[in-house]
Amino acid sequence: MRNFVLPDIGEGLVEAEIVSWLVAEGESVGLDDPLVEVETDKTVVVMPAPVAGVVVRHGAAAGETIKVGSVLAVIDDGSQDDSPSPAGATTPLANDEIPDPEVDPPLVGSFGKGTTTLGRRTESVNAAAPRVLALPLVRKLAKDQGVDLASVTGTGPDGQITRADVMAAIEAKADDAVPVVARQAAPVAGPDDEVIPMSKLRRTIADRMSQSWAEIPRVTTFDEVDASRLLQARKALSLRHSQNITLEALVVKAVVPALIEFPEFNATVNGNDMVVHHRHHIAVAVDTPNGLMIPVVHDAGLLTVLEIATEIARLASGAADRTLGADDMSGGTFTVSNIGAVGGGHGTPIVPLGTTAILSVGRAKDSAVVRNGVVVVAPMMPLSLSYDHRVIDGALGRKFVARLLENLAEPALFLA
Amino acid sequence: MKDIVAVWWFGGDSRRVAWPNMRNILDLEGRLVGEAPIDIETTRRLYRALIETRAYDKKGTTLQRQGRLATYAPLLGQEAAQVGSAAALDPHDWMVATYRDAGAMWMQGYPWEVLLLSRSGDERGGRPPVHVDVLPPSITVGAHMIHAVGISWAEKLQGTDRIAITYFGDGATSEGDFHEAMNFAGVFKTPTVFLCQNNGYAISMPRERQTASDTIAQKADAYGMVGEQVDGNDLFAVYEATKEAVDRARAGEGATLIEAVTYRVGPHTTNDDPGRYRDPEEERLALDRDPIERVRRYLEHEGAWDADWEEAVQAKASTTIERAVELAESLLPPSPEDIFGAVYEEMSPDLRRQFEQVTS
Repeated sequence: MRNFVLPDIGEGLVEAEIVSWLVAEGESVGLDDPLVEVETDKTVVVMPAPVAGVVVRHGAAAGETIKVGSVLAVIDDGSQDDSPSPAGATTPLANDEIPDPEVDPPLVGSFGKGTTTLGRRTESVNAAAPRVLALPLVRKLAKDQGVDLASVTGTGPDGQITRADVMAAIEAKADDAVPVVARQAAPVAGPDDEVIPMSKLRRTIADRMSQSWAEIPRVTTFDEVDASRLLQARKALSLRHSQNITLEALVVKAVVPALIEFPEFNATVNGNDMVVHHRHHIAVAVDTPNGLMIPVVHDAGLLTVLEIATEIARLASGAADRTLGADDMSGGTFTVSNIGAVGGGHGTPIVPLGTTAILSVGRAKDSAVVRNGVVVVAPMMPLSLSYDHRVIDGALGRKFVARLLENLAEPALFLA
Repeated sequence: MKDIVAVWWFGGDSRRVAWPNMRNILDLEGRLVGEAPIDIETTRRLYRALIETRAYDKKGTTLQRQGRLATYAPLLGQEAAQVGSAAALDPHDWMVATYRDAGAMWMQGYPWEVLLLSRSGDERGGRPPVHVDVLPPSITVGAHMIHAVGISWAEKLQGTDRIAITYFGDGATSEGDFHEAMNFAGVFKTPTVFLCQNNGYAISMPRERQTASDTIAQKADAYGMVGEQVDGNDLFAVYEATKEAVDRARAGEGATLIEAVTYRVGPHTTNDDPGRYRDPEEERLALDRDPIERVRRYLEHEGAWDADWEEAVQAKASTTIERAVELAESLLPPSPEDIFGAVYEEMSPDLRRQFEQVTS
């Protein structure tokens, strides 16, 4: 029986997601044959089996995330011992150097003393107890608190027991509770429910949303603008250039002069500082089959509307088939979300982390408006601006919106 | 036929690049378009070396995925450039190469198991057997070419007939040390062979953004030395060009720059995803230029290859590499003395303190 432990297949990898198992439980696998596909934060990698044998157990199912150092698969290769394979996280020691983890736990990175440098390992490693990996500081903490390290599941690299693991064990002991590994939330799904694990992208979105919600006290201000001239400009530009100039491209272009005038909206809150960005990288929200992505139009202020439209089209298709690079996905200093594309009106968008504001644009609808005492029909476009109230006061928010309304009502002001 | 062979695809835009003066002897079909520089028996021997090099390379990536090697830099597709050039050396010649040159280093006597140790963070991977004059693989890009120049200059001053060959990639030619090495070698007419494997990419940087020169070989002109471009996936062309360069160096006629045009079929390392910066179409086209298949076809035309022999060659390569893995993994972990004593003759106070912490 061999435990195949998930190694660090990148440089400093912490965890990976199982994409698919290429060999089912109970099936045979050959030495170095493809066993499982895993996705790291960089790429999808096929993991080859370290021994030939029957796959007894998968360490995690497809879609699940597994930490580096935990068991990826158990393979029955006909060997009796359950000792770690050469691929395992631990290194078998020579017989005379086997430490008793109860009495003399070895330090991380310790070596057998007095061994001949170029000597061969003795063949029999059956008696080698699994080594407990932990830093001296952690060992001391465990000893002081009377925690047996052998009973703690390590969550660090290669299964190393971290300070947090020991603290959790102490807490568990205090509660007189179940073993540390089993301390999870009570099940919420019954027989009539379906559990759908979140994809990596979805979890990233979830994390960022929660973090923003917890960190940024945001307020949203609503308004509407008569979009007739904007729509005319869009039509004229599209006709002249035989290219679909999206409304988003025009909005991005209209936003930049307002950001120059009110730099607080193109900034990052960093501790007690507000970092004002002099370049305007406008993130645009793109709805993809996998979830929301916000790729970035870099230096939007230096681009023409035509160039912005081309760039947004490239980003949108790249986001849909997930071919965008890190450069395309990062560095946004202000966000435009065109919820009008999916029929939306007003919204209360969440300010993306690292920025101070987000503008959501709804669909322009013919509405009755009063102008010079007369009711007329005009295509009114809803705008919702959320901003970080820590650095932007309400009055400033209104000024920004007012300038934005002017620009959008009269495109000549920002197209000039 | 020659024109077709001399066409390569490089760069994200898959721009066609053709070099009319590239040396070429075996075409894609394995037919001679020049004269074979070695006999059939030698070719068969080198074919076995190509297969064994590829077996090692495949195992290297596999071991990394199993957590048994640190980051590994595949050489897939560059076998002929390495095996062909190293085959032109005398056993006592020096070699100064990089992390992607296992094939060349092994040809010159660096054992597979020691190469494996060098990729698993073990200092003993930097110590080949005493009679092997191959320096440990350089990890820093471009820092080692000056070492080869210094070594070969020392041999010249001592009046020996030993030469030094140094391997590097297209990316290394943009390093300042490349200029220093080339300039010194040119001025002092050192017996050095500069073997550049232009594999199209420096990590993600395509060759056409590396230099505005039409070829890398032409840079030799500026240093007053011979420069030549060869088809790096043509075993015969690489061998012949290197042999001529080695002979020139041994005869006191100075250094040579050889640009072996090849293609890095795999990722830069196991920590890289080339899908992010190059067209998969390029990798497919590279398969048509497989340097090993070309030699196989040649041997078959000559009646010196059959499926039984192929199977035996493959089996032997596989066994040899598996044994090397077993040997490398059977070693005890290095002692603290080994690790701390590997760098300085005398440990610095900081190192001494760390050493005592580990051993106490």
